[in-house]
Amino acid sequence: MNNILISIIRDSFSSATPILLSALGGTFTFYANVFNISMEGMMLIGAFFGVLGSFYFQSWVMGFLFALISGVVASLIFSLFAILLKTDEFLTGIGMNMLALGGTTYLLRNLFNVKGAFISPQIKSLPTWDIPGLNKIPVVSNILNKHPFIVYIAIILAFFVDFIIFHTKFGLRLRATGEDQETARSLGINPEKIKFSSILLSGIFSAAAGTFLSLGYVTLFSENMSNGRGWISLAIIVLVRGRPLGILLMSLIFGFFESAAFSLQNINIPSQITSMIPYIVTILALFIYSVYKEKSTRSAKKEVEKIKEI
Amino acid sequence: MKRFFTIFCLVVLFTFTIFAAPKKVAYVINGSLGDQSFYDSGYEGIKNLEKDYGVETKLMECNFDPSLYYPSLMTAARWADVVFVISYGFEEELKSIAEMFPNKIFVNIDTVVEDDKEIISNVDFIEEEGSFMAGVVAGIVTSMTELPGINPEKLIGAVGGDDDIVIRSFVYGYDQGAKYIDPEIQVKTIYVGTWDDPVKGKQAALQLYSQGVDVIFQIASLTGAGVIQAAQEVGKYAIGVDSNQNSLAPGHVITSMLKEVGKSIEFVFKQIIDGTYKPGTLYKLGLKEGAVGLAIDEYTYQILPNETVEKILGIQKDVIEGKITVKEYRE
Repeated sequence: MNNILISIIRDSFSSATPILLSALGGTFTFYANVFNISMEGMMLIGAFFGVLGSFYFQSWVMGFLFALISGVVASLIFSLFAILLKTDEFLTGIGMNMLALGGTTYLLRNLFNVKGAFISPQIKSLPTWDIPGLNKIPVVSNILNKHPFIVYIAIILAFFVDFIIFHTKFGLRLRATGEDQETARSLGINPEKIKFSSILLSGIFSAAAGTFLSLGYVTLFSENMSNGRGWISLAIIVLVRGRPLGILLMSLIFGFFESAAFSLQNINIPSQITSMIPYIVTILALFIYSVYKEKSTRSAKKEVEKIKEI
Repeated sequence: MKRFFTIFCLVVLFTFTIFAAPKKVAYVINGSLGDQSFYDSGYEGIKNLEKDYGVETKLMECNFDPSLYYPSLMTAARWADVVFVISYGFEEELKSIAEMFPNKIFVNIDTVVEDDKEIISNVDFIEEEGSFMAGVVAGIVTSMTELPGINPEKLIGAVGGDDDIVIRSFVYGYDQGAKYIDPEIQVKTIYVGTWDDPVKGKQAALQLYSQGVDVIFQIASLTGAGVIQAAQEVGKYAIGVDSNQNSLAPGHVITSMLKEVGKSIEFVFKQIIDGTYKPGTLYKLGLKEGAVGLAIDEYTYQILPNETVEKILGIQKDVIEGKITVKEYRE
């Protein structure tokens, strides 16, 4: 029983990582007030080109590089339409997602002559990190050690992104653009440029999330392998209003329950119910989070009023 | 003279009915070729008909596009004498077109479509027999503690794509097979709830392996690719499904359970040629007809010693000869 608990907690990081990464990317566009729903497609594109690069060069570095480049190209296409040509962001996002699904499926069949899943020993996966010191503690090591390196980077990035958005010049300009584009412009900020950088960051983060799927956790590409994770990350961004640390917490909660759901089938809970659990728990967690948030803002307001009275 | 003419007519009619062998065969599928299993296997059977009986064949792919179902089937029915059709998703269209061409032969594969005039025949696979054999293999392997990665616990697993009747009948047969080897063997099943997510498939498999399972039967299409990778990662075993997946992780995929659509097509066509075919028949095809079975190849021998494979084949023979009966799943 102990083994299975370890397995569940260990896998909650694997479930959380792709959602966390693409949500962290998407939060830049959230603050820049770009209605970006294309994380799902960009993740799929990253997953495909990661496998492509890794397969042809037989190196994970090239795979990772290919994925990031594909993320950049995808966000360039998105920006070309959404910023330069001023098309509707929502429709452009739908277009991107359809292009990603159709395009990767088409390329899969034409380049590798397979339908469904592409598996080959030539695809090299991302290295795992053996953290010195950690590998000596028995249970913790089983849970935290030897994940693909991108898992650790994703968690560190959550703090880093929080710092960028709330404590740097770029973050301030990003939020100003999102609040009111024209006011920002009057202050000498180029909102188009800010929006473009946010889309670029989102594309790169989502593509990296894709490589975790296709080169990190499993080493293969299958059609539509992002399977809704980009949409879940979008939901999480909106629910926690873009706060990077909130995203970290919510993805870990979601990841834990997604992973635990499988083993709940052991005690005869129907699989349809267990599949719902991660979503229900995330909404519950969010409810508690907002109630708590509401209380703290209310007390903060009261204090402000008190100061005013004085 | 009049009598002579009647005899002549009768002879002509007689020879005509005997030699009216079908010349044109159409194969209509709801999806498209290239899946390396189901549809491709059927097309192989059609190509064999061309070779063995010299018939003309035509292929109609609908690419899961509902607007193509009716016209494709209509074209096929007009052109061909025999139509083999995988009609999942357009059963009603099949019924109405079959009624327009009551003299042609319609053979529907994998699902059962019944029309009032009994024109359509159906091929139904006895999946339980194939998965029974998968269960036999898993049961034998989980008892062979001398193999690397096998623990003494009598636990085997299955990962299903979704909790539906088809997958349940697979698991039902699998359970029977394992219990035939050793009644104490327990089967743990996880239904992932999605058919195209290898990441979730691997998570489910890793959780089963961590519970002491050492062989997992994957019945989950693309999700199952993750099961096979999990087996490779932790050094345990998996059993593939639909197509021969033994080569995907050499040394870890013991065998694969196959559904041979092509062989079923050849089987029914032979009935048509022999004249034993009757419209409206339900052909239930299993191990005996070669419609379901195990893929045993060099990868299997790489894992299992020859005696064990022979034992498995012996049990397969017993099922074919009727010495062992496999119960079918009922809702």
